Amino acid sequence: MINKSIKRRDFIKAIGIFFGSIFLFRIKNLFPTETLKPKKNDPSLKDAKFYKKINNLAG
Amino acid sequence: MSNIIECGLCNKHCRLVNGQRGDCRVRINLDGKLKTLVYGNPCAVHVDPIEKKPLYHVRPTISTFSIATAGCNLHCKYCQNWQISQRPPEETENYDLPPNKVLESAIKTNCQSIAYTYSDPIIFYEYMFDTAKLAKNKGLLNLMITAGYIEQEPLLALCPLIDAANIDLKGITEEYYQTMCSGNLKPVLDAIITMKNQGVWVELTNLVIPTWNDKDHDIRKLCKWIVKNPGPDTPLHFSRFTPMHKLKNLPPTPVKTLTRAWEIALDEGLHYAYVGNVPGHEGNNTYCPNDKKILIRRAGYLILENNIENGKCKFCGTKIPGIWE
Repeated sequence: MINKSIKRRDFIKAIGIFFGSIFLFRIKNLFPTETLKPKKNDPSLKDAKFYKKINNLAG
Repeated sequence: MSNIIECGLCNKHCRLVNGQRGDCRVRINLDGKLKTLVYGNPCAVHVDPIEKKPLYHVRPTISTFSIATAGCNLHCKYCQNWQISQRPPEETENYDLPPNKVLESAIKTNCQSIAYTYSDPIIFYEYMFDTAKLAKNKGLLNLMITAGYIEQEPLLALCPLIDAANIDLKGITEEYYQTMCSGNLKPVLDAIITMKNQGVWVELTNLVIPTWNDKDHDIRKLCKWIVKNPGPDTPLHFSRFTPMHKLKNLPPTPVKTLTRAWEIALDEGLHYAYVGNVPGHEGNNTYCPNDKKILIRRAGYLILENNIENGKCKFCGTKIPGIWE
C-alpha cells in the first residue's frame, strides 16, 4: 500500500516537472525539420564577399 | 599567376592557396575566388522564444526563427555549441533552406523575427545578408547573435539590415581572448561601438567561467568599459557556464559568483544587468533604473508580468530603451 502511494507520488511529480518545464521554458516543438530532408553532406558553393588577391612574389 | 587570396571578413585575414579553407572551415579558395560552403545549408533550425537569445529589450514573448550553419571563426575552449561551430559542413547534417525558404518558414511558424545564431553568423555572412534583406522587406526583425569578431567593412554593410544584436563580450583582456578563444579583444570592442552607432539595438553577454574571468576586478573593468562606450543603457547578461567541450574539468559557475557580478554591474552604473541560466534569480527581471520597480518579471523564458507601456515605465514614466513595438 505504501509502495503504491510512493510510486503514484513519484509519477505525479514527474508529470508535474515535465509540464512545468514546458510551461516555464516555453519549450516549443523544434521547427518541424522532419519536413526538411537533410541533404548529403556535399557543401554548396556560392561566391563569397570581402576578399582580395595577393601577389605572392618576393621582392 | 598567383591564385592566393586573402579573406577580409574577419580579423584573421586568412591567406589561402588554391583549395585551402579559412580558419572558420567554411570559406574556401577555388581558383583564386573565395567561395562560401554553407550558403542556404543550415545545420540547426529551431523556433525559439526571443528571451533565449538572450534579448530582453526586444519585443518580449515573440518567437524567433533561428538558424545556424557549421563553422566559426573563433575556437572557444568552452563553446556550448561546439558540435556545430568546431566542425566543417561535411560533418554536420545540413538542410536545404535558401533565404526565400527561411522567410517562408518563419512566416508559416508565426515568427516575427529571424535570428542568425548558435555558431556565429559572421561566417555565414552572405546567407545571413540575403535572408535579412528579404526579412526586412516583409517586416520581420533581424536578430544577430554573435561574438562580434568581424572586420569593419562587412559590418557596416550589414548593419542597415540588423535590428538587434546580442554580442558576446567574453572578457576584457587581450590575453583572455587569445588564450581562451583564439581571437582578439579589440575587433570585438570596435564591433560593439560600430553597431551601436549604426542604430542597431545592442545587448551584451558575458559567460562567467570559474577561475578564468570571474574576478571582481575583471568584471568591474568590463562594466566600466560598457558604461563609458556603448553606455549605461546597454543591457549586460551574465550567463552561467556549463562544463563543455575542452573545459569539462571546471565546475558550473556558482550562483553567488553570478550574483556578485550582477551587483558589480549595477554598482558601476549599468542600468540593466541580468543573470542568465539561473531560473528564479532576481537578476532575471528588468527593473526601472529610476524607481526600481519590476518592469518585466520573468520565469525562465516566460514573461509573468510586463509593466512597460509605450516604451516607458508605467509607474514613473521613465523611458526604457529597447524595441518594444
